[in-house]
Amino acid sequence: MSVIILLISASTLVAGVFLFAFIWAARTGQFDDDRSPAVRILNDDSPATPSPSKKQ
Amino acid sequence: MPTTTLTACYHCGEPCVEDHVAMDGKDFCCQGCKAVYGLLRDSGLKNYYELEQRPGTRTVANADEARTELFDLPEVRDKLVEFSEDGITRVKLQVPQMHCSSCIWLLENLERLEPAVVRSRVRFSEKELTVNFREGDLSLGRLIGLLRNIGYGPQLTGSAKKKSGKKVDRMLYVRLGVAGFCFGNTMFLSFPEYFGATLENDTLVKGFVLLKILLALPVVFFAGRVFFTSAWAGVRSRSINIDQPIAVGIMALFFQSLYEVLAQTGPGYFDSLAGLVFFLLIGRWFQDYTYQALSFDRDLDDFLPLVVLRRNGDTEEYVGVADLNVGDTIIVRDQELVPVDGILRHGTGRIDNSFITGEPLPVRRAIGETIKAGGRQRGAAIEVEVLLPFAKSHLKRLWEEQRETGDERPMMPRTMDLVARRFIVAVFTIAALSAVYWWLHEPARAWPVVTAVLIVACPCALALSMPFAYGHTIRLLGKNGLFLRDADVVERMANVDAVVFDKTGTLTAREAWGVRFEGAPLSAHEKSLVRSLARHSTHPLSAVLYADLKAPLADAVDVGETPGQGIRGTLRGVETSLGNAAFSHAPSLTTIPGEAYVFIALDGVYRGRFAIRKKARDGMAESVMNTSKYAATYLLTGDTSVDADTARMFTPGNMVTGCTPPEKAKFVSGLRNAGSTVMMVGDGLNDAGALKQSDVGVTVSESSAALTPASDAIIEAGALHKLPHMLRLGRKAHRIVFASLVLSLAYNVVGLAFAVSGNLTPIIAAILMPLSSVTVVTFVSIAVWGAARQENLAK
Repeated sequence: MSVIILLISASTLVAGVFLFAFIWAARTGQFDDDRSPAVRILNDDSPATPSPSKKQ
Repeated sequence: MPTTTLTACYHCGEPCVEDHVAMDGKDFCCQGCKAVYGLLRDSGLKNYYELEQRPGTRTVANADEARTELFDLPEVRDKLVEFSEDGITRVKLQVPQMHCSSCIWLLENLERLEPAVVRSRVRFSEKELTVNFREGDLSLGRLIGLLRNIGYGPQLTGSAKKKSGKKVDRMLYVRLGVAGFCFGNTMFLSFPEYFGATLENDTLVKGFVLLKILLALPVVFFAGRVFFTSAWAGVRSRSINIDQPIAVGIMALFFQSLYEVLAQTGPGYFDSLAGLVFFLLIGRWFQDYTYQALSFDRDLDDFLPLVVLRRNGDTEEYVGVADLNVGDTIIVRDQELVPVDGILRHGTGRIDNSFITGEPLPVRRAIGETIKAGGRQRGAAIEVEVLLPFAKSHLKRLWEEQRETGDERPMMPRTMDLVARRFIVAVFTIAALSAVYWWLHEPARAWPVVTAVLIVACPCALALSMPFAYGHTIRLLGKNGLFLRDADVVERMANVDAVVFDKTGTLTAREAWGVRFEGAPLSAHEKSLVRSLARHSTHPLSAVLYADLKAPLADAVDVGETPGQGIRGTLRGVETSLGNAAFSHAPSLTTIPGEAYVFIALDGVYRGRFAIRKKARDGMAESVMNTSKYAATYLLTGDTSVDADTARMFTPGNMVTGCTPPEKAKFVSGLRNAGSTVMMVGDGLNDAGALKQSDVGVTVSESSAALTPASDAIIEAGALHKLPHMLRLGRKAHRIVFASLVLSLAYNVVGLAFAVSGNLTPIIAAILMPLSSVTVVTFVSIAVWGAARQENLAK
């Protein structure tokens, strides 16, 4: 039985980590705009000028 | 005018006229588009044309634009710049023209066009562009000039820095995440019970139950808080809303479960509780969708120029509009707005009042005459003496009237809240009756039955049907060019039984004209002369003639324009003049109100005149006729008469002419007092009062960049012909909500049957609740989509 307790706590912990990741993402505004990031991924780095780091 | 074979411009997709330009084997509708293409090609940005087809916007000279050098004045620059440090400056600009992937791509690659740009980022949902640039190498004015050159001129107005509109509620996402997390895990921990494990025989289940209590706490006190706040707000204002039975249901679920666990009589309903809150929050999130890039509320400052040029004797200086004093002389140049009431002191005023009235034809003003604030000068610069400061101007008064009348409109109670009222009464009656029954027969079960009734009667499906039905409707209407402020507008729209149209600017387009020639018909040769000469004139009527006449162009020499009089030039050896009657030596002729005339003389001999009048938009007559099948239609106009074409669209008694703005507002409130639900469709500031008075105020917008008065909805001018279908979709959405109410009530009845008989076990609650929510949401979504398909609005 103890193995189940271990499994439950481990899985809840993992789920908790994802929950906090989600909360962090939502609070830093990553769900504010759902259009431009999707397009941004298509941007090629230009050969002429090195593109500045795409930091969000 | 488009010719028979239409070629779409490679840059903007507009049809190319016969004298269009070509480059690299590609067709362009105008020099502007070709220039942008050339610029992008030379900068290695041709990718712009590969991401999407014909992504550009036509670079039209926008009347709102101030000269770029203005932005380098310290007082203007400081208003716009957000941040400036170590030579790097950041500005946030509104760019309403952005509409597709190509736009985002180009705007985020500005550094390839201009090396002084360090970084540019787009926030598409707000149509906002943030640019960091080295101000030492690139002035703000030149940056704005660059954006204009590529067709993305930012929208810059008096209030300059855009007040941030309604931001996405980030907290709602967090609540959703928490509720979802707790829902999933609670469900998971409830599995042993679903398969028959009970508290007595399994210690593991006891541990699970404790975990479930822990998970239920954030669900009730954090995620579910929105329902308690809204329910409490209702209690305080002594009104009933749908969140009250929900709050009662949540509390009943939570405390009953807690009691059962502590008294060790059962596992509780924690799974249903978490599921309920999660589904309800999804409904909220779906409904809260708004058009963030559109402003439904406006400040008058938004319409004013950033600065005005004031003349002090021989020197000129830029000052803010608020700093102008009575007696100051200001200089208003071509395409600039007159921000104050004043007297014309120098030059010829050709004032376009389209912003106020929707009327695009400029009015002539001579020296000594007054000019009202809000007019736009078209033509050479004029000097105006300030008569009234801005705060007392005609424009400001109009605006204030709109604001004052706006507060009087009583809000219609929402259907949902009306239903909630009956619902609450019914639920409490049933709870009381079953309590009495069980008290008489088996007193121990009375309390559990009451809580079971409160739990199962929680109008979860009921509360989901409206957000989903109206949320879908808002999105579908938005795709078709009608943008609603919020879900309540859909409901008011469904009840509309009177539609009031403004004439100028609404039924008639700013750019649609009817042209008639009076006199012996012109030969092709003569038409060519007139059209070629009209091309050289800046007068709007010349532009109409140029677009309307179909004739090849000829070269003109010795062209001279007398502002306010006409234009004269020699073409193919013929001295041609276009202008007013005196300029073209015309005899005195009768004029019809609402028509403007251009008189033609060839070699000094009067040849005839063009009568130009505004034409109704394409498909408008049909649209009005179709609307009148469902609702009474009315026409309000400030003009003294209505032309025959427009008159045919309306019942004779339903047209009111010579309306002042307050009269328009009064007419609308009169209709409302007579019991009608009124939709007002208008465009100019003179309709603002009527828009506010109506149940659904719809503003017509010629372009997404245009400034519109405050309203409940904004419709693209090109979508006006779909208005009857949109009205019908609103009605159908309302009926769908009612149908789903029946469906969810059926579920409630089934649940109540279990509850009053004392058989509501946790597993039945856990099945019934999500099942009812999912069926209602599915039904509503499919039904709204089907209704939109019937109305040809599904895309």
